[in-house]
Amino acid sequence: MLIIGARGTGKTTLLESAISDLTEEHKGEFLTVRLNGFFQTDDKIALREIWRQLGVEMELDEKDQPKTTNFADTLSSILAILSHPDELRAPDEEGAEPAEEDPSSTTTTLSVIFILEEFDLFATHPRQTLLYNLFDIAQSRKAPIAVIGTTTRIDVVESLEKRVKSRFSHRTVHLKNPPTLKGFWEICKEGLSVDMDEVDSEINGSSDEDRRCFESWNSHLENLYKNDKQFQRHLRRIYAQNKDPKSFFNSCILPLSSSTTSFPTGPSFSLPTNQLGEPDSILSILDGLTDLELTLLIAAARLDIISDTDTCNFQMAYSEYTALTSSLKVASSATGVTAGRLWSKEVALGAWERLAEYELLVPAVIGGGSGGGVSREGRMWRVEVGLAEIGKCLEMGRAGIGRAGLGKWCKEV
Amino acid sequence: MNDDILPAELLTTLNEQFPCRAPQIRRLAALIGTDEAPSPPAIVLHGLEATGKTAIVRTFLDTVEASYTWIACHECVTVRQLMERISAGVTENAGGIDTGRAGDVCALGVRLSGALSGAERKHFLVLDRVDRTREGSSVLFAALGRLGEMIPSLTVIFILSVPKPRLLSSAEPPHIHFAPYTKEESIKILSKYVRRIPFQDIEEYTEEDAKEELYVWQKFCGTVWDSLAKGTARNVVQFRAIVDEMWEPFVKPIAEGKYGTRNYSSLYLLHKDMFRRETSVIDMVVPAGAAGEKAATNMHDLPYYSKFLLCAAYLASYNPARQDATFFMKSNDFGRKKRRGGGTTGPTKRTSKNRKIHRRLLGPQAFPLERLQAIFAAILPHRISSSADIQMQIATLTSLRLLTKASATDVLEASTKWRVNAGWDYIRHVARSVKFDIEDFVAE
Repeated sequence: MLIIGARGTGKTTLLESAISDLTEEHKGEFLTVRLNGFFQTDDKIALREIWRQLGVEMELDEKDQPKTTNFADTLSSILAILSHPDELRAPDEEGAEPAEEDPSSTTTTLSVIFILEEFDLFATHPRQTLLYNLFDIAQSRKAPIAVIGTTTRIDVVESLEKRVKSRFSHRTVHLKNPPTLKGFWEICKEGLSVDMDEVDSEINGSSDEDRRCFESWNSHLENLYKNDKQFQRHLRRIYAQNKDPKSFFNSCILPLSSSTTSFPTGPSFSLPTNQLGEPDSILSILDGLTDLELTLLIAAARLDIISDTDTCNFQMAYSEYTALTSSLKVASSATGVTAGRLWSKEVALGAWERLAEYELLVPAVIGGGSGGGVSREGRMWRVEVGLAEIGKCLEMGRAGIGRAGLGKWCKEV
Repeated sequence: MNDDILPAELLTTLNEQFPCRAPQIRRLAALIGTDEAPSPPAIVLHGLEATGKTAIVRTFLDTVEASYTWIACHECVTVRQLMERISAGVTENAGGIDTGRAGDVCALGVRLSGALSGAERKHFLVLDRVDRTREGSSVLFAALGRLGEMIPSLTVIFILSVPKPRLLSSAEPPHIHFAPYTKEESIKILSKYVRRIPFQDIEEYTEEDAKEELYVWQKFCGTVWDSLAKGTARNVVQFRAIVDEMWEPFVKPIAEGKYGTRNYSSLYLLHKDMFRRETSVIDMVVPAGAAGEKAATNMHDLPYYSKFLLCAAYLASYNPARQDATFFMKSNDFGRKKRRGGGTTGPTKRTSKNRKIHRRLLGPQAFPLERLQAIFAAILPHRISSSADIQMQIATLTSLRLLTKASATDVLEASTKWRVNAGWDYIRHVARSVKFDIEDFVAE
C-alpha cells in the first residue's frame, strides 16, 4: 500500500498514529520495521537494517546476526524467518539455516509491518531486489507482513519493474493539502492553540489562572484570524506560496518565543516577511556581491542576449564589462557623476571565479570546472540568472544600496 | 511560552563581542535557547563568507553551555570519514560508550540514536561549511537533515554560504540569514581593531591619542572602502587585510610629524595614488615590485623552430580555417592583408541582429596537426623539410602544456585535434623574439 502526498501533508504522522493505535489494541502481536530511502541507500544496507530492527524487537543478541559480507545469505535467512513464522523465535547462530531442529519453540505468529519512507528511492535501487522480495512475500501470503510506502511522487508506480509492479496491490492513498484557506487555518490553529481537554487531563490541578490564560490565548488566536489584517495577509501569503503549515509554524517561532505569559497581548504578526523562511532564490545573495562581481555578472548575462548563445567565457564577459564601464565613464564625465572604476584583468578574474564558487555561473561542459586543458580565461560557463531577474532585483533595491544605476544596463541591450 | 529565553546580560555580551549581529543572535537564541525550551530538528544558517556564522554559533553554544559537536565538513575527504567523525564526536561529547564505527549514514543514525537515547539534554550537531562537503549528494544531506527528526534530542545545524533551495528536501527548516555587512557596519567592526600610529614620539599613550587614532582610522577605513573594498573585497576579512596593509604607509607622515591627525584631506591627497593602485587587492606570493619584471622575462627560452611552431599553433587556433588561403598562400602575397567586408561571420551561425563576438574572446579552437604543419611551413622565412626533430619539438611543446590535445583520441591518430594554450601577449612576445610579424596574420 502506498501513501502519496506532498511534503508536510502528514503522511508519516498519519502512519505513526495508526501504528500507535494498533499497538494499543494488539500489543505484542506485531513488529514494525522502519526504513527510510534517505538512510538505506542500497538494498544491502536496508537488509542489514531490517536484521537489526528485527533483532532489537525480538530481543536477539547482536552476535546472532549473520556476517554482513554475504548478501545472499542474509537475504535468504531473513526470508526464511519471514516465511516460517512458526520458527520466528529461533534463528540460530548460523543464521543461514533457520533452526528447524527446535520444535519446542513458541508458535505465536508475529506480523511484521514494513514502513518504507521515501519509497521512490527504493525503486531506484538496482533490480529492486528488496521491493520484489517484500512484495512477493506479502502477496503469496507466506508470512503475515504488510508493506507501507510513503512518497511524494505521484508517478512512483511507473518506476517499478514489471515483476515488482504485478505483485503490488495497487492500493494507494492520496493526501492533499487543504483546498481552502479556511482549512489551512484549521490546521495551523490546531498547532498553535492549547487543547483544553488535554490541559485538564494532563496537568492535574492546573490553577484557574492558567486555565484563563490558555483560554484567552485561544480566543486571541481566533481574534487574530478574524480581525487582524496583517495576520490575514501573512496567512494568505503562505497559503498561496506553498500551503505548508510548517512554514507557518516557522514564522511563529520568533513572535512566540518573544511573547510572555501576560496575555492577551500575544504575538503580533507584524513582521514584514517571514524572518526564518527559506530564501526565494539564489538572487538573494546579490546584495553581498561586490560592485565588480555584480557588474561582471550583468555583463555575462547581457552576453546571453546579445550574442544569442547560452555560454560565455571570462574573456567575453570582461570585454563586455570594459565596454560598459567605459561607456559609463564617457556619460558621467558629461554629467559629473563619479564613474565606476575599471578594474584590471587579474582582479576581475578573481571576481569571476568567486561568482563560479557561488554557483551563479556553472561550467558549461561536465567536468569543465577543472578546465579540460583550457586556460582559466577561456573556459565556458553558463550564467544561472537572467538579466531581467537581476534588473528587477536592482530596481527593488534588494541588491544593496546605491546600485540602482546598474539597472540601466539590464534594460538597454 | 517561556518568559525570556536567555538572560539579557548574556545577549548583551554576545552583542558586544559581535557588533551589528543583534537580529541573528536573537534568532539563534530563540531557536537554540536553553535546555528546557524545544528546538527544531534542523536549522540552516546561510550567508556569504566572513559574515560571522561560524564564530557566532560557536561562541553562542559555548556561552549557553550547550552540549554540541562541531564537524568541519570541508575537512572530510570521503563520506565515510564524515560519518565516522560525526559518530565519534557525538559519542564523545554526549558521554556515550564507543561501540564501533559508523561507515554509512544508516549506521550513523543507529549509533547516534543509541548514544543520545539516554541523554536528558539537547545535543547540537553543527555541520560547518556543509556545502563544501566532497562527495556530498542530495540524499546524504536529506538524511543528515532527518537525523534530527529521528532522534528527538538532536538538533542539526547546517552552516553554508550560498543557500540552495530544497537542500534537505524536506518541508522547510528554519533559516537564519547572515546578511553581508554594509559600509557602516564594516567600519564599526574594524573600529574594534584600531591600530596604533607607529613611531610616535609621545612617550605615554593618552586617552586623547586614542581618540585621534580612532578618528584617523575610521576616516581611513571609509576611504579604503569607497576606493577599493566596495569594488572587489567586500567581506570583512579581505577589507581588514587591505586596511592593515595600507595603514602604515598611510600614517607615516603623521608618525614623522609632518601632518597633524585632523588634517585628513591633505593626507589623502598626498596618498591619492595609493588608492588607485591595485597591488593591495591582488594576493601575490611574489612581492609587488618584482612581479612586474618577472612577468616580462618569464618566457620559456624555446628553440628557434619551437617558437615558430607555437606561433603557427596560435594562428591555427584563432584564425578560421577558411581564411588560411588568404593569409598563407605565396601566390596571394599582396592580398593577404585585404579583409573581406561584412560577410565574414564566425564558424557558428548567428543572425545579423546579434553582435559578432571577437574571435580572440572565444578562446582557442581545435585544429588538426596537419594544419599546424602547413601554417608552420608557410610562416617560416626559409624552407625546411619535415623531420623527426620538428615532430619532437611539437611533442615538447605538448609536454610544456603550451599545446594541448583537444580530443580524446590517441595522439598518433590523424583525427586528433590540438589547441594552443598560450595567450596573445605571450605569443606576441615569442613572435617578436624571432622577428616574425604575427599581427599581419591574425584574422580580425
